[in-house]
Amino acid sequence: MNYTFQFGVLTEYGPYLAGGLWHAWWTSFPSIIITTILGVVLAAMSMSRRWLLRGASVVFVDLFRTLPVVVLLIWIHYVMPILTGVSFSPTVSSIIALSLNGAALACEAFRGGLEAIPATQTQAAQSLGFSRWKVMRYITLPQAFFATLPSLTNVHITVIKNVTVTVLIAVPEVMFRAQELTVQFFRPLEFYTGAAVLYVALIWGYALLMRMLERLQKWQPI
Amino acid sequence: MATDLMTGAPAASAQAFIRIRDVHKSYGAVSVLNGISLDVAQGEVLVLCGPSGCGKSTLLRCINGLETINRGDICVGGRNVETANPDTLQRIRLSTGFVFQNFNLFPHMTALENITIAPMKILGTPPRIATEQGRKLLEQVGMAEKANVYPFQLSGGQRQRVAIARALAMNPTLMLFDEPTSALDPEMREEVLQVIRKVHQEHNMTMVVVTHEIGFAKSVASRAMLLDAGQIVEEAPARAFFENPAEERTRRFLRAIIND
Repeated sequence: MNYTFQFGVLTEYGPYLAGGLWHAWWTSFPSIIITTILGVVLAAMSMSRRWLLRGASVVFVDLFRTLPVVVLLIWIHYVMPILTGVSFSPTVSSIIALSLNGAALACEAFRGGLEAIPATQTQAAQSLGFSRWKVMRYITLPQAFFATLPSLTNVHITVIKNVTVTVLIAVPEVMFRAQELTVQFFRPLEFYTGAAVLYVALIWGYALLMRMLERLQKWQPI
Repeated sequence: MATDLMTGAPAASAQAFIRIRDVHKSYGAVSVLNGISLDVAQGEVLVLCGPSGCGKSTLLRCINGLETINRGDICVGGRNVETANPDTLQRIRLSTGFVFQNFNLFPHMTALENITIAPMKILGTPPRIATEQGRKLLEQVGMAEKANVYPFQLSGGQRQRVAIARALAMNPTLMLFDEPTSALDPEMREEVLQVIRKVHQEHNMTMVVVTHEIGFAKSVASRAMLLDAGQIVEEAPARAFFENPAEERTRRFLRAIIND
């Protein structure tokens, strides 16, 4: 190996590279929120008595968990405007693509959590007069939420990692800036290593936050 | 008298709070209830006994609409459980408290929250009033000092007492107990039975109790009934049922649970 590292370029351009984290976060954070909400709704739908709701949930999950994120992203950003005349900024297109993909994964995580709640909990609530919807709202979902947290964290991490593919439609996040700087200074190893460190820090920090959320659970299943 | 009720004489049903006629229920090929007919009058305490798998728990769950039946009629307070729309079924359930063998407390709520959630979210009782009522109920079942404790921190007997308070919070006119003490250690059983006795005395509530606690049944129940293979084998006033059963099957069953 006869490459000489010159991490000196990072002292000058590191802040610019790290500034990409801001865009990475503001692409992934809304996606995480939408992913979670949509995931809960899809999971609730998949357990509905109405076949239409169940069917819609299955179609959604199967479609968006099989579509590669890159294909989905390119399609939303470049193909959909031609078909519909509606176009979005790169960030918005990215949020839509990451959310659709993430929601399909989150739905499966929540469904696993909901199915793990014993049927006796539903019966106890029904015997008190809870409707099916209120059973979900007050009894099964709150319990499933904590049971799902560890796998939900994995889904969120996948969503954050997927932000790197938005480089393809020029969202100015860390990968995009690393590429930009590399072209300019011919220092790929320094800039891409810098990008790696920044992403690891972001995701590691997020996972830590989620672990703190897990500790908020004061009760234990019985 | 008892036989009149069993044959379904219409005269007896005039004041019956629960009216069950020729109920059949099967899970696939396995039939659990084979033509049950019985009446429970307002304020009456009926004890159901029988070997495991005889259908007593299933019958109880059918009364509350937690299971659907294949044939027959179940009316509670004049409302047919089987043909009830969701609203009517909810009204039946609101007037019925159900106590489960395994307590089924909500693990993510404290003892007090377990009791206040239904009045607040279903009846729309303001939190302050629901909490006040909840504390009173906890006091009634001797659990006042455990109000803010989660179910996993309670013993079996304590969980069951909270579960009884939770059912009482909806002011039911009928209480269904599904083997309320059989998941408990012997010394915890008495604390739960004591609470059920007290509830009966203070509220003079209609009760159907699935239990094998003979002492308790004799002191509280007005009538007792033996179910076997989904049919009523014997039905009699509680004292007579336990002290002087008519059927050989009942004698055999009582001997078995006494030796147990």
